[in-house]
Amino acid sequence: MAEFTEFFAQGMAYIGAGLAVLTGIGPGIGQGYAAGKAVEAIGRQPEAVGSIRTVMITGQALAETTGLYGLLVAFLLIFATGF
Amino acid sequence: MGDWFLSLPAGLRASLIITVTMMIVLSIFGAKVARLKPTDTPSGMTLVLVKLVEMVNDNQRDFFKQHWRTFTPLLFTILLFLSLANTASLVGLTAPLSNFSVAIGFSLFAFLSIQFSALVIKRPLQRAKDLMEPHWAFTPINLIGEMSTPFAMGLRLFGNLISGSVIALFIYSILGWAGVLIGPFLHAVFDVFFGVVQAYVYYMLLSIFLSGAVE
Repeated sequence: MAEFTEFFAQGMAYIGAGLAVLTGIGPGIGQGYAAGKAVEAIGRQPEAVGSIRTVMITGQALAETTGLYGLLVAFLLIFATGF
Repeated sequence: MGDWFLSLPAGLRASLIITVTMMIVLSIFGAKVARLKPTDTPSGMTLVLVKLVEMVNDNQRDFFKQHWRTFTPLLFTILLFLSLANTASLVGLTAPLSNFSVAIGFSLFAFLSIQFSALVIKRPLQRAKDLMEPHWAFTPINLIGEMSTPFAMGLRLFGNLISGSVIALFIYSILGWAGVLIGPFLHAVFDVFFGVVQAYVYYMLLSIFLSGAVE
């Protein structure tokens, strides 16, 4: 019985890790949107391509954060569960 | 002494090595620049560093209206340290920011530098008024905001570096000897590109929050 509980908890932790990684959807949408808007801006104003690229990459690096939180939670669930 | 150094976690060891290297190299070049006469032209690495300092100064004048002279050395040091630290795995060191203590240290550093400079420059009374900005009932929300942004800044660095190193570890362990072929591209993306972008993002955010707190 104790063994069953242990395996059950471990499996649930892995399922939780898989669910936590679903946070990657949000940053994916956000970064794609930022890239699309940057392409539009470059199409409208091709001489500003340098500054548009810098702002786009900075904004994407900021948007990435929420996805990374999900990844950290997944790592905690996989490696740091106290069993 | 040696035992104490070797018993540290790899990330902390790399952080100490990078700090000491930076101190020595920057002292040498600082002495070189101080010995230059106004008519001399710097050359080589000195020229690169002088140009970098000029670039950061120009960048900081956009953020700070009055106090850029106070904060630019601090922010430039942070930018240099983070760019070196995040690319440290190229020379065989462990990236310091993949250690949680170092990442939380950076959060703490951002928090304390913002709070102290706000208290010193704006005086405690004005600072308290700023925290009660729209209405006094907003004080708890403002306090949480003051705490959470620096925390998120350190955690962002930690997440990026640890995800890069874990993915590199996975791919190397799956590919075995063939990892030598794919390794350069992996390091180019995860260490050089993401590392430098994250260093720049931390520097930008710290500039924005510092200038928002003191001006």
